Amino acid sequence: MALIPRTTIEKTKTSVIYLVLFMGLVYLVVGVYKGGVHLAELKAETVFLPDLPGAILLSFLRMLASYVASLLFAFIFGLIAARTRMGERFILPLLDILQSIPVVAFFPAAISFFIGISNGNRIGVEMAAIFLIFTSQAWNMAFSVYESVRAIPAENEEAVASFGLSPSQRFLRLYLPASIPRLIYNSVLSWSKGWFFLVACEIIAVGPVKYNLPGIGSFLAKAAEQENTSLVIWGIFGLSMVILFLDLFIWKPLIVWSERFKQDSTSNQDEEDVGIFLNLPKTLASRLKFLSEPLLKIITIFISPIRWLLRDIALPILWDFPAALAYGLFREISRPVEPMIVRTQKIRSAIGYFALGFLIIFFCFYAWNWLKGPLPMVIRDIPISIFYSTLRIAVALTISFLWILPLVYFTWNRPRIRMMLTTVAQLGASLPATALFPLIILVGVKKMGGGMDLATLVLLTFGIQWYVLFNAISGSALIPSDLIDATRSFGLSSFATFRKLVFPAIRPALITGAITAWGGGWNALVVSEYISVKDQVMKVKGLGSLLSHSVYELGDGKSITIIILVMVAWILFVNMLLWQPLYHRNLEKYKLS
Amino acid sequence: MSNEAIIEMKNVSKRFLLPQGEVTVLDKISFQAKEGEFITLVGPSGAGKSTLLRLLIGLMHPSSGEIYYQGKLQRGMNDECSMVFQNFGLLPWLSVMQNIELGLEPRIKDSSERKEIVNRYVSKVGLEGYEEAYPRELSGGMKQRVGLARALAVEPSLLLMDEPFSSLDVLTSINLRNELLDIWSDRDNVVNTMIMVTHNIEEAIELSDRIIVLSNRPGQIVGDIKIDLPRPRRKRDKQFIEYVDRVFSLLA
Repeated sequence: MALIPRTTIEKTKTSVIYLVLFMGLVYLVVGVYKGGVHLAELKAETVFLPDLPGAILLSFLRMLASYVASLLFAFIFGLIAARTRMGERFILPLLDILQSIPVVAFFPAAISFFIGISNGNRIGVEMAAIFLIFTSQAWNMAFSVYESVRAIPAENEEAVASFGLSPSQRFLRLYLPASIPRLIYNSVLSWSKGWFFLVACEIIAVGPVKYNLPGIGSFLAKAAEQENTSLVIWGIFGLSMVILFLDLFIWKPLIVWSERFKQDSTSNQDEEDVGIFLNLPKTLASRLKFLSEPLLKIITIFISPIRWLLRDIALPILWDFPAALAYGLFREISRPVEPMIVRTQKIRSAIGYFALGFLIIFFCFYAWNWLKGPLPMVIRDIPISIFYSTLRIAVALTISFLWILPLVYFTWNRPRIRMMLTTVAQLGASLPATALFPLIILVGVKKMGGGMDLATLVLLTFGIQWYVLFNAISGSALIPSDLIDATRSFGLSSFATFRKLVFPAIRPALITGAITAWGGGWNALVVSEYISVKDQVMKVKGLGSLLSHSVYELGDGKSITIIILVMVAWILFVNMLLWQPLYHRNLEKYKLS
Repeated sequence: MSNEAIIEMKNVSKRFLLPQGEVTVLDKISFQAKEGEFITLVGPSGAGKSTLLRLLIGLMHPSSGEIYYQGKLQRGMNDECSMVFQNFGLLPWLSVMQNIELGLEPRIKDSSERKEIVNRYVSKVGLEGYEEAYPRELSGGMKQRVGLARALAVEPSLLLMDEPFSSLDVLTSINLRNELLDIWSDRDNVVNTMIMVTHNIEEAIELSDRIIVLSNRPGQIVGDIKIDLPRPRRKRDKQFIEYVDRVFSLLA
């Protein structure tokens, strides 16, 4: 077996091209922004407890808007990626790249575009914030639509096509229902990620430009600035209640409801693909049925006129018309895909290569112009920053393993406790760790005098431990009982059983957790290495703080571009050289089939 | 039985571009189906039988050659055809009624009219009492009844079937075969021309007027046999066995 799978190399090649193109775009956008938009700072007011419900409501509405936009994005791009050859070649690597770009990197684009075009009024700032939340929610949802549509059995596709259903009928009958199970799992994930970054997105700053939007994120930040610990705790409590409510009364019932949209044979497969929410406990959901069933009925009553409007009026207009327009370009969306298209393919890929070639030439020309100028100062700090940040993630991962492995040792053979643990962990994971930042800063750093290094580590661990925990728990739940019995029959001690059976069995799951944590860790790092409270900035050396510094203080496009380029390249590099081979080797050796 | 050709293939070839290169699946296929005929296509797996059906209905397009439906050159989907699939092709999130209704949606706007038609075909294929069930709750035989009802409900003039009985157990498929013959010979039905793919030679002889035998890849027509036996046909009849031998010798 080759050390690195061929497909990984292929994918990485396309990804690199994209990364380069994307960076060009960021730099262009930042350049435009530097050209002139200048905005006055919103007044920082004092917040009080009665502001809390309003703040939570505003934040919730922002999340909702971003979620709706993410849904639209997911369907459009997921479908194009799934149903066209070009889409699969180009959209998937693009999504892969976008997924590993930290939210902060989108700040300049958000500011210059949304705030710039609206001349800095409130609507523009809102749009910018929604866009930023969107960048944390949309990509995995698009992936889930792509995977769902690809998983539709060929005969179902053909059956629907053979009756000549219109594109909107096909969407409603086939693509939409087929996407529902994965999309709901991923929506849960996206909402978690959204809450996590919401706190950062309500305070938008690039260089001299700074914006505060009323919401729970800025409420917490201001309460921390006022050094009012009880107000911070109230804020966290209020937010937790909302998240808990959404979890129990919206997501859990929806997950139960989505069961009916699963394909007959693939019901187990689906659950394996959804990342950290591997086994959402269905028992809790079924126990709450007496509450969720009537709620669903009420929702259905409210939804039916909306559904009528969408289905009979909006969709034919919004979907059939563009689909007819796009018919020539993306024939496959409105037509069944043949296994291969012989003639048209060559022409189309020629156009694709021509466009790509043009873009690359354009970019080289432009990169040359760019390199001629002096390089920014921050470049010198990059190598040492990479070292510190990587070390920090490694330590956070180690800490996670240190408390999670003993936990697995005590719970792997106690299903009831494991179930409870999963529920608690899910609630813990859905609470945004970023909301705790002000508290940790206030109490941990200021009152108790802990160092900022320690605070960063705590925040980071809070952000990434869940990836490891969920994978470890679900991995240990999947150990076949006959293996357990067999090990038992030899009279092995419980520690020996853990060492010989449980640990090897959960190794692939642990590695999956570590990979996910590695990717998500960088995003969390950017938020936790650099925190500004009042006018005081607290930061530690690291790539994340370097990026935040370039965005918040310098607003310098060149530095931002270089740092993101280095960061994403480093993430991909380690993925390719360390995680992927490690994962494949372990899967081969320890797979329980 | 009239002598009109309902559908005709002229020199149709189909090539696929696969990672290992271009593969010719069907090579210069020409044949006619007359109105009222029951034709079966047999051949080794990989002979392109299923591809041929998909070309006939318009799910795929010929790489070269033409297909004529009632004398007209065919492009795109043929909406006077419908198809029954090997693994049923039922949507798991739709009930039996809704699955049957699916094909009617683009054709009939009035939903009560659709319901009426659906009910007629539900009773025709013996699905009464299962209207609200979901596919996962049904046995294979019941699922294929839904597949059949869905294909018949659009009242096609040509019914295409892709190994409709091969994922069913023996007894169920015997029952369904008889019901299919009843539907075919029932003059009340619009559909009286059927083309079916099978790999079961006895099934082909039992059901059809004509057997078209395809060779291994690239698929070419190597035999076109008229079955001149009165119905119902019995497998142990001498003539039946002779036909089996003839088809076998063409395949070997």
